[in-house]
Amino acid sequence: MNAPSSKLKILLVDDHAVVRAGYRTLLDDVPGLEIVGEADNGDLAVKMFIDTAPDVAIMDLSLPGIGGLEAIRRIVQRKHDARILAFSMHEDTVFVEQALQAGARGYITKSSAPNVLVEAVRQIAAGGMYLDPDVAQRLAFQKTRGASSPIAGLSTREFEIFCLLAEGETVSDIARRLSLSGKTVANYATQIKSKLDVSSVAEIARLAIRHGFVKV
Amino acid sequence: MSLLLRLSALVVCILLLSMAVGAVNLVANVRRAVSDEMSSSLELTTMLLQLQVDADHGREPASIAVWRDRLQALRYSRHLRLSLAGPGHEEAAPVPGPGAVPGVPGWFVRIIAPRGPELLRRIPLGDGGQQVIVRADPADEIAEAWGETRLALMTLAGFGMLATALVYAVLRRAMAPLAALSNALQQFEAGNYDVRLSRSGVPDIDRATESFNHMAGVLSQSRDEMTHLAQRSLAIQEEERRHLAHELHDGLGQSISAIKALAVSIGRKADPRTSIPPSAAMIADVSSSMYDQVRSMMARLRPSILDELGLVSALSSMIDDWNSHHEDLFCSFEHVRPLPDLPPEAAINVFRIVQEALTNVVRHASASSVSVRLRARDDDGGLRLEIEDDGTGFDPATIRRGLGLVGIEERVRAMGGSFSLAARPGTGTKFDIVIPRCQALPDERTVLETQDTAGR
Ligand SMILES: Nc1ncnc2c1ncn2[C@@H]1O[C@H](COP(=O)(O)OP(=O)(O)O)[C@@H](O)[C@H]1O
Ligand SMILES: [Mg+2]
Repeated sequence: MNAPSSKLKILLVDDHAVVRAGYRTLLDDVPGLEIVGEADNGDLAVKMFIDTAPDVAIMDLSLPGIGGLEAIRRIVQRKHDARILAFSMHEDTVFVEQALQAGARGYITKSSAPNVLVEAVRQIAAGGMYLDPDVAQRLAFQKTRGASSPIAGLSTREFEIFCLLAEGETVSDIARRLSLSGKTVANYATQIKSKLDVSSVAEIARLAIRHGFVKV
Repeated sequence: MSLLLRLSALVVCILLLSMAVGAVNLVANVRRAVSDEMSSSLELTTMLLQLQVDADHGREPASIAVWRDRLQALRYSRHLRLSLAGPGHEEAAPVPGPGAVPGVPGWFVRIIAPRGPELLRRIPLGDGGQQVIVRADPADEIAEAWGETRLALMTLAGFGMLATALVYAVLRRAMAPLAALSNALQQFEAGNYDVRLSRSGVPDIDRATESFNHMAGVLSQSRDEMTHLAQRSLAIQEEERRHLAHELHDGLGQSISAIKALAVSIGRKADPRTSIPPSAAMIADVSSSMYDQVRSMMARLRPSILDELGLVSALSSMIDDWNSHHEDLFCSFEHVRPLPDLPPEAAINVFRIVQEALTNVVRHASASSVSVRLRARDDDGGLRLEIEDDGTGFDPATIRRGLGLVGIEERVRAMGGSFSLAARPGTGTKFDIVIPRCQALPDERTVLETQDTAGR
């Protein structure tokens, strides 16, 4: 059992009482964590952060009033080393980017939160960053694809299949992996080839290597 | 033949007929006049000559030479040819007759020239067997008559032409409202309900015009109402969906995520030897899948990705999702960048159109592939959306249009765009939709914005 002073102090911000109650229950049981405050709107979150000086704030993005993103911005403005974990129902990468730009140190979605929350809190408290694996992958895809390469025109699913094809997986492997039908994957393969203007899987692989999506 | 032509032809026929009767009458009159003139001249001259003969009587009968001089003096008398005849001098008088008259058409001469026994008088000059022969010569008279008749006929013809033109013009004017009516009906058929007819001043026609205008007014009003209703209901539907998405997000979604957190917490706390941890794990799993369902419902109701990442991302993610749910049916999605920026309400309209079209493909087409293509239009910077499937197709004239097709049409209309539907039984279905660059709908936007702030 850690000494009270060494416990990680946590501020929980969410406009839904039931959510706060749920996560309080979850976090209360974790040794070494202590919830020092709760806020249900952005303004209060800023105030509570200044007052309670938590090690980590878990911050929902959709809040009444100034909203989660603005609250993060204001907190970081006052305390440059504020450690905030954004926590949202949104899975779109735009939100992730915006939260990180506002100054959050991490981003998890509410669907994965119960399993990864503690881990995320610990990493951020230790001065690190944490991104939901799913979100991180998509964000990376989006960043690396860039806007100019022909690969930018692929949909997320197409890009996924493109990478798998480039790595030498067969259509049926891919189908199993993505739980799609073989026919659908074959159709995607055809469409990817036509979009990238190539005729074989070998060419796909070459293209992927050239753009650095697959290591040789 | 058009009514106008028919009526004109009828009038012209009647006119021609009466003109023909007039002409025949005219010629008959002329003919009688010529023949009267001839016979009266003949009678008069004969009488004068007879008087002369009688005056000579008792005196020394005038010699042939004297008569010749006398006749010579009368040489130029009109219409008559005088000659002497008797034993010893066969003075042939020029034979008048229905022969040619210079400057007069033969047919006129033939009609006019007096027929029957030659108009001729013989006046005996005493007992020597000498006689003066007076013959009528209608040539002059005919020439004269021709001159007059020709003038009359020409006047008649001129009048006839004038009358024909007049009749045509009057009829045309009178029937103009009819032409306008049929023109207006044609426009109506083509879907232009804004045509109205102006009053013609003819009461009978004005009644029809008024009825037409009334009908047109009622129709276009109900068309406008229908459009308004359809668009309004689409806007309401969109608002409602947005609202529902918010509710799902704020209510159900949050509660489920709380349940999951609680379940995970219980599982961690519980004695691992009991059945609590697996039960808690199950609750967490069920919560997870409920949460996913809520998320996908939210995405269907209001794809937040559309607002955040734009139309192309929203469409490709929707189509990817669609492909993963339909094994035997593949949807390809092509887009040619750069695409014009659409205002949010237009983007959601395009998204819904594709959604609706794909729903129809699944429901009705039995297709094996469908393609969605999105590109900018070179000419006006607008957007072109094509959705084409290789299914059964249908006959747009006979199907019962449901909310799907009507919704597509109304959404296109709301954006000020145009769409063509190429569908025939057996050849698949193709939508070709063009959306112009500018399509602001201020009233609808305000509605949505109000709704948005209210939903928060
Ligand atoms: N892609 C298609 N292929 C074949 N038939 C279609 C297609 N889209 C529409 N239809 C026909 O048009 C009708 C009207 O469609 P819609 O307006 O969407 O109403 P609903 O789908 O509710 O019947 C359908 O019932 C179907 O007969
Ligand atoms: Mg339908």
